[in-house]
Amino acid sequence: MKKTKKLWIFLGILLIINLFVYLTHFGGKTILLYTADLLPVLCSCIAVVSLFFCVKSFKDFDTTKVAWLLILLGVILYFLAESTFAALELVFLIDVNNTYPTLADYFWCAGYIPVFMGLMLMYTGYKKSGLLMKNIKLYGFLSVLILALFSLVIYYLLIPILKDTETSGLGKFLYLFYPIGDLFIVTPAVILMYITSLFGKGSLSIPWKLLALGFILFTISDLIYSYIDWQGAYETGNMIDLGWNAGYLLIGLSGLYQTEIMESLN
Amino acid sequence: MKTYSNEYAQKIYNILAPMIGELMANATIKSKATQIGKTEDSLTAKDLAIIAPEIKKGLVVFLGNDAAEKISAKINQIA
Repeated sequence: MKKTKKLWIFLGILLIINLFVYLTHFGGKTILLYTADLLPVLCSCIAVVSLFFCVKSFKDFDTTKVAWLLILLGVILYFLAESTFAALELVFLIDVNNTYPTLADYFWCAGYIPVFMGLMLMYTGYKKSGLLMKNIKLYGFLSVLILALFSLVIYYLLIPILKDTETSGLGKFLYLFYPIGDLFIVTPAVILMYITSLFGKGSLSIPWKLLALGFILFTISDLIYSYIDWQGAYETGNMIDLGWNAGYLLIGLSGLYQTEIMESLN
Repeated sequence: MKTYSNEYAQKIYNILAPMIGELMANATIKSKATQIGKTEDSLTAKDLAIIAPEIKKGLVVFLGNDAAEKISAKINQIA
């Protein structure tokens, strides 16, 4: 059985377990807490390992390898963030839902930079490739969609957070950083998603498709999280965790598909 | 699945379509032929040496330089 197929099955099993524990609260609060804290660590670790093999499969140190390397770096930072968050809550018994920001937030914030750079390198590389860009109308639609998303985030998240007098300066900075960072990530991710739609069933587009989908899932989960956490309504075992876990596993799958493509050509 | 009357265009298509999809393979062959002042139906064995490196440029973003070079060489070998 191919590694990608195995990971698809594993992805399904993990998400079903995740959903089962969250819906039934099977095993009580302790199991819920451990599931909520350790599954993201496991999923991000899978993404890191898959991306590592993907980067390793490129022989020349060219722009394509650098793009994947930057995404790997970003996901390593996310993995460190997930591990720190889990350690703070499970080992140091800190109430992380009411402590903001924590060390994990700095890792998450730092992760945005290489991820954005990596996605932009892929996009600019594609633009230079001379391959079809096509469908100006769809680009127009995408621009309107992204603009609408920007407006919604500014209106419902950024302005209320800025006006909030109870949140500290550093807290405000980080609350604002997440949604703004997400908008920066989702823009190239949506464009990559569009580009891959031009490739039909072409095997080369699968890794980009999964990568873009993973980061789009992150953005949706992050934006919902930013809103409900700022409202003070986020609690361990929230369903939005599934979005992050699925996002990590899709990013891991993208790395594995890319590795398989590279191996088939060597 | 597109069928070309020109054997070289067909062979290039057969290499590219599984990787970049039928639409993109078709558009790539058409644009590369146009770049050298030809159509898909008038490609000759000599043209492959010019077209192959151009196709490589398009694949580098997905495969990196080394693997894209291999595909380019495969197209060159059609002749």
